[in-house]
Amino acid sequence: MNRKFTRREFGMMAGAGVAASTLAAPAIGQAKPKLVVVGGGPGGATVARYVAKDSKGAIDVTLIEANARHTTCFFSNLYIGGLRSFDSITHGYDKLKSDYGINVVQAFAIGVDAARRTVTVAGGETFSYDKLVVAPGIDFEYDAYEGYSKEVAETFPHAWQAGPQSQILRRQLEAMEDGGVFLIAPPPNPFRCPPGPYERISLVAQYLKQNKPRSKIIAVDAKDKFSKQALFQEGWARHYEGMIEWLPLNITGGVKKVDVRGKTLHTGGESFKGDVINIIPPQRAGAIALAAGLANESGWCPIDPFTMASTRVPHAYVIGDSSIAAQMPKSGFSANSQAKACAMAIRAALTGSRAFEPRYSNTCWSLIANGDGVKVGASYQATKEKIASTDTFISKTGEDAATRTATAEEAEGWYAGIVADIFG
Amino acid sequence: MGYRGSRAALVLVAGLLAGSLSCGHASADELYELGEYLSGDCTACHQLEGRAPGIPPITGWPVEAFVMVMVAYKEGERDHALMQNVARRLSDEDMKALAVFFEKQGQ
Repeated sequence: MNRKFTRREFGMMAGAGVAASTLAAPAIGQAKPKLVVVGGGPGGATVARYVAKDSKGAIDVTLIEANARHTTCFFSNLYIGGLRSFDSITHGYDKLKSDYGINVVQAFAIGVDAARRTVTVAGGETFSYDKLVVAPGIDFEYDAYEGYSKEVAETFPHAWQAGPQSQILRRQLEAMEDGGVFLIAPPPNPFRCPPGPYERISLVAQYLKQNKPRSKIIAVDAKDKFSKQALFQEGWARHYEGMIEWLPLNITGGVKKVDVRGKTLHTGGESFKGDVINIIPPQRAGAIALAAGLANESGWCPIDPFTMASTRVPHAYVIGDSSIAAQMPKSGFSANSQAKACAMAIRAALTGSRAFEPRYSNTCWSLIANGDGVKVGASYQATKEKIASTDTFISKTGEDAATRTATAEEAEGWYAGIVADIFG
Repeated sequence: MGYRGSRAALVLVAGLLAGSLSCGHASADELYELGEYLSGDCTACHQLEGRAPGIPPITGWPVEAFVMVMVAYKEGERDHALMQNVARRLSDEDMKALAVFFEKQGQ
């Protein structure tokens, strides 16, 4: 048991797939329990960091993430609107490695063997676990609209997973002529970041007002109402009068068909032509969650409200956008909050540490214009049935400019704070 | 700290501080542990190290000041919808635990 392997032997074993994973724990002389986290966004990186930090090395933590760096979805509208650089919303995993001893593996997880408790990544390598957290965020229903596909999303970007998609949309807006139409199709519920499409409309409007003032924005929504609607619509009238036309589902019937060549979205009735087209399609849990059997027929993953443990797969937890967190919105803040409750539950299960009653919270800040910020938030508690909202707050229409400036500044401070809390 | 609390806050703070803060190590450790867990709700915005505009630092405050401010939010005497929301679900023990935890940070 205690024989020390040479580095070369260990390297060979690590590359030996299933054999390595079944041997790994005893063979390298570690009796440490193993946590594997799939997904390095706000949920996954936070749970990895909190388990590593609070277990003080008693739990071996591996974080499997496909990308070398993570671009946050929150604040990506500020990049699209020209208020922030791409670099300022992109973060690496160096501190998770150096300060917390987390084994960060850049790989794409493709499967989970719940019986053997292993995760397989593209290329075939496997990682064994005692507990598994799956936090892959969202995936898209590319077959939702006739003529729409993953390939079409390269031309009409969703920009709803921040990164190259956000850069495509930004470039298209920069290239658009004055007098052009920005056509956006917000998704049906449930989806990532409920106020996000409307913050995007706001900040694109601000960019167009300043740079291409004859341009228009048309939103063909898949819903009849949306988050912070009164606040956004008041702000649109104040800042961007006559520029934005928001069309609810009950007027258009929603997008039915996408015509790439004609740069047109067809609804049940009217058709809409756009110079830049931003289709944010319907969503479901990330692919690995479905592959692992964590999702139910809704396409999302049911969880135990007290621990975020999967109700379908033993020893697995689902946090963030992929989970069914009932009244908690799919947001980076929610994912970060769920990660902390989940980390506590995992430490208690693996090391017997004390577990307190989980407490969840969320706040979503949105910018209507530079220096005009609003927010909505709530506290949540676990009940047997669901994560239930207990106490909510929201910015008010008609607030004075000083309040809105303070809220916008608070949002900037929050961004710095939560990024430090996620990535170390 | 430049904050003048209401009588209700002062009475509560006095009661809190006369309580288990003066108890033995186990109790203080438990309080710190609770505070450490609860602090996760705070560190989504407030940084343990470093600062950012718009979000005030909350580390290194004396326990009394921390508790007094949280009581004022809870009672609605201090104005901030988000912080009032945070404070409303904190018990007396929770506030004390957070105060003990954050006092020790950033020192």
